[in-house]
Amino acid sequence: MAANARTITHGATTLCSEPVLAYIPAMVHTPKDSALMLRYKDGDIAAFEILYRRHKDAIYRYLLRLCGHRDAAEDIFQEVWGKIVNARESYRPTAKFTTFLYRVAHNCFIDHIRRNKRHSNNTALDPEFHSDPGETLEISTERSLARERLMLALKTLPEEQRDAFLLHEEGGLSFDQIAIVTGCNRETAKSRLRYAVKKLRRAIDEPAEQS
Amino acid sequence: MTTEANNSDPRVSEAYRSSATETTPPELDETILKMAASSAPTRYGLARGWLRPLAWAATIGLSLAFILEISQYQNVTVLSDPIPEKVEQRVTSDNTAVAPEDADVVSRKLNKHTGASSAAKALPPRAEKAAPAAMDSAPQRQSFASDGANLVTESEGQVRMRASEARLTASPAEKKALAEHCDDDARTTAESWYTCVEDLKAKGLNDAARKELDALLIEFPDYRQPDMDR
Repeated sequence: MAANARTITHGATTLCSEPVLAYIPAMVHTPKDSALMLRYKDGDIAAFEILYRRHKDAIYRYLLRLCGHRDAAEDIFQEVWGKIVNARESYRPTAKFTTFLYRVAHNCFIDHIRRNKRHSNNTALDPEFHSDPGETLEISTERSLARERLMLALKTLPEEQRDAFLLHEEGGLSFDQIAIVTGCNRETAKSRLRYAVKKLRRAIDEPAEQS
Repeated sequence: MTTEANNSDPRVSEAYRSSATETTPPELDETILKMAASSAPTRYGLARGWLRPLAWAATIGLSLAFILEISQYQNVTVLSDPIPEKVEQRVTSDNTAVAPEDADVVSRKLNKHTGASSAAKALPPRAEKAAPAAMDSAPQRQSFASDGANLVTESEGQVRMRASEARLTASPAEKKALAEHCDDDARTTAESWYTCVEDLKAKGLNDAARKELDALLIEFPDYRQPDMDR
């Protein structure tokens, strides 16, 4: 169920595969983020709740991976949504809401780094790994190890590359949108993402290469 | 050319998504949703900003309109209730009690002045006592007199007719009082009285001449006017 929800969340952006995307409008009427924000601007709290539940986990994970500290991530997360709430009056649906949301999150994270020097790559995260019941122990172990290596590699990535990767994976942002959020040009965003993916792929394949 | 698909590795994405399963704590969700609910404007909240002044403006406007309507209604009541008719009504109602000379005084004074204000002044004493409100609104009667001249004329005719009827039933002393433009010497004979009437006509006092002639014919019913002989 959670996996389906995640698929739909990503499908609402750009990551979902074509067949799933094709079925979403037929299954359920999903109002656009900007429409929900405008409804919230007019006082519709239920619209905000839909919007919040649609994006909260992805934003939370984005901040969690950037910060590496759960408490800090929660503080920034609260600050981000506080800014979204306060920006409802001036909100104009000129850009995609996801871009607007992740830009706010990115800026809040940068502000947080400037305010607190405690930011470091040392993480207190304890990711939960869920194994597929149908997998054999060997495959399951291999997958778990691959995920662990991926997470370790993600922590060691340069901040800009990690940011680009997380914006792409969690927010489903395109190169242009990543460039807008991080304040760089499109080619830089593309380069950062390419390097990040390359390093992470190498980390996942490391045991195979060694063997 | 490098596309976005070339930059996303399915294996990396799958590995990341299967491991990144953290969700927000429920208490954090509750805090944010409460914050959003408390800072959100209520539905029609923006409208409430101008609804209150609008309600006040509407109340004041309606009150003013009501007051104006009431005041105009009072004016219309006065205007549509011509004083001569009141006089007529009072004369009619007092017909049995009021002395004929009172009605005649009304008639005479109405003949002298076509204005309604003078008509109001011409009210007999008893009528004046009976209509203090009408006497108090002299300016309004003035405006009525200028606007409703036809009504005044019509009432004058009616009062004149009643005065004429009263004259026919009047006693000799009352008949004598009908005319006041000719002195007693002129009234000693029909010819001298008629000469006085002619003088009044020559002076342009046609109403007075007519009244004197009426009185003359009452006093001397057999008198034949020189005009009639011609």
